[in-house]
Amino acid sequence: MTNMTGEKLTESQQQIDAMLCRLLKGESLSWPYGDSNQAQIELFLERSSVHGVQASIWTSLQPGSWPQVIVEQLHKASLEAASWELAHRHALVQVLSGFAAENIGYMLFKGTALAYSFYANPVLRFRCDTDMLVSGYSKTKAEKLLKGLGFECSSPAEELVYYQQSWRLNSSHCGTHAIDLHWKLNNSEVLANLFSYEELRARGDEVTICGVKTFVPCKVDAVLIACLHSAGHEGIPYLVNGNSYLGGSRLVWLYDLHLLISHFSLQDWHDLTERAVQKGLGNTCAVILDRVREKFSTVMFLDGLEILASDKDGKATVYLDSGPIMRMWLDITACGSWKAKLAFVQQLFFPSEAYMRQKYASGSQWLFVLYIRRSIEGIYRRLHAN
Amino acid sequence: MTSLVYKGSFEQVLNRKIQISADALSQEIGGETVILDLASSTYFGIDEIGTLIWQMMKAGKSLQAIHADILSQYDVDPAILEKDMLGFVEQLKSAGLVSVVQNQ
Repeated sequence: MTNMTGEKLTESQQQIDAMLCRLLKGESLSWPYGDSNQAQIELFLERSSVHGVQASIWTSLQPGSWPQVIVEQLHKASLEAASWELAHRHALVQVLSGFAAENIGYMLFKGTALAYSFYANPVLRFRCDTDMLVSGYSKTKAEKLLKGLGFECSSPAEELVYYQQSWRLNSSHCGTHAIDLHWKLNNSEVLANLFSYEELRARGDEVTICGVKTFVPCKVDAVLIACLHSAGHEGIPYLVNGNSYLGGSRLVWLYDLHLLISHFSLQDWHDLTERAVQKGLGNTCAVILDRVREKFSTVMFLDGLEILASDKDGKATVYLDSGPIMRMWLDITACGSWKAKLAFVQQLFFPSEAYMRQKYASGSQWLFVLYIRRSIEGIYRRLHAN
Repeated sequence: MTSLVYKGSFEQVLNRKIQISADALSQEIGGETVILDLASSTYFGIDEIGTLIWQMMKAGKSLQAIHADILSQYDVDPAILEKDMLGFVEQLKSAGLVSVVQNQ
């Protein structure tokens, strides 16, 4: 994890991160800094929150050998995570049941899919929403169903720029819960068609959540998607507690991969290398998986890693290794016709008035002022990403 | 989050089955349990022993069977356990999380 200028983590941050990895692996550790080292205590709480692992490490912490303030904070965080899980699952089960009743094909992927298939307890997989993938053909039906269940769309679709919408449910019972509805796996034009819903579904695994059968990507696809997601954040900041961070080394994501790879057979490794190279993701996977191995000492098939690392020129890898401007250019060139390219550029820099009015509901009545505000915010977010 | 405190006596509900409300959703974490009551939109927290009892209630065991199970696992005075269990059930009942439904 670095800032926009590539600045490395401080030594203290690296030490705390290493400690978090050992706790995630289930090692029995004591607090090494002394109970009165307030700076290290605060850093530990901050890093564990940024990495999204507070509930996970709480379950392996031995309270007697840690400062009281850390024990109390992690305990509080794990109870909050359990409370969130209860309410979110209640909302999610209504959605999944609705999709099943309406015969709308869907898959869960990323956080919730992994929480219910690879974690001993879904509470341990920190997340803020659930990602659902539907076929482009089912998008309208899915939107109608979510509306019918009381969800509101908080991000108007920009067909050429975004392939996802965030739907929020404000419930008096459960608080606010979000479903991210995707009809392509990624918003980048270069990566959007790397996996189709149909192929992921055909290879998918069945998982039951509160009696509702659902589908998630198979282990190999889940690894590819997780690598794609982590690598994507090398160029796209993410928000934690209102702060912007940049980089694909967030421990909650790398730990997902550790769990997934820990379940791999030799055949899975064969499938992974074959599919990653076929998708142009070979070296991207090699870099991310190497990071996982370094952090968690994950047992990996080294020949498989070598094959992945040798695939350096894959289209997806070239895209993900590029800076933001080159990524934008590659996205533009990936649009089929000139008309599509122009529409993409227009929507990227000047989204529709409806979109701008919704995004800045309390902003100026002058549209050009809103465009300037959007540009400044975008630049600010990138410059202040940690 | 409300904490449940145990108090009271045991005999009244000893042989009865405890029915967990359909509105009471629960999630275990690190040996504790968080319960969300959809009817009142309230969260409750229960400790490790409460979690053990709650899980056995969810499995459909009567209080008598739960009492016997806990006595076989822990070195605890039966009378104290009875008192604590009844207090626990009373708290759950008053919060609307369970009801006493039938004689065994």
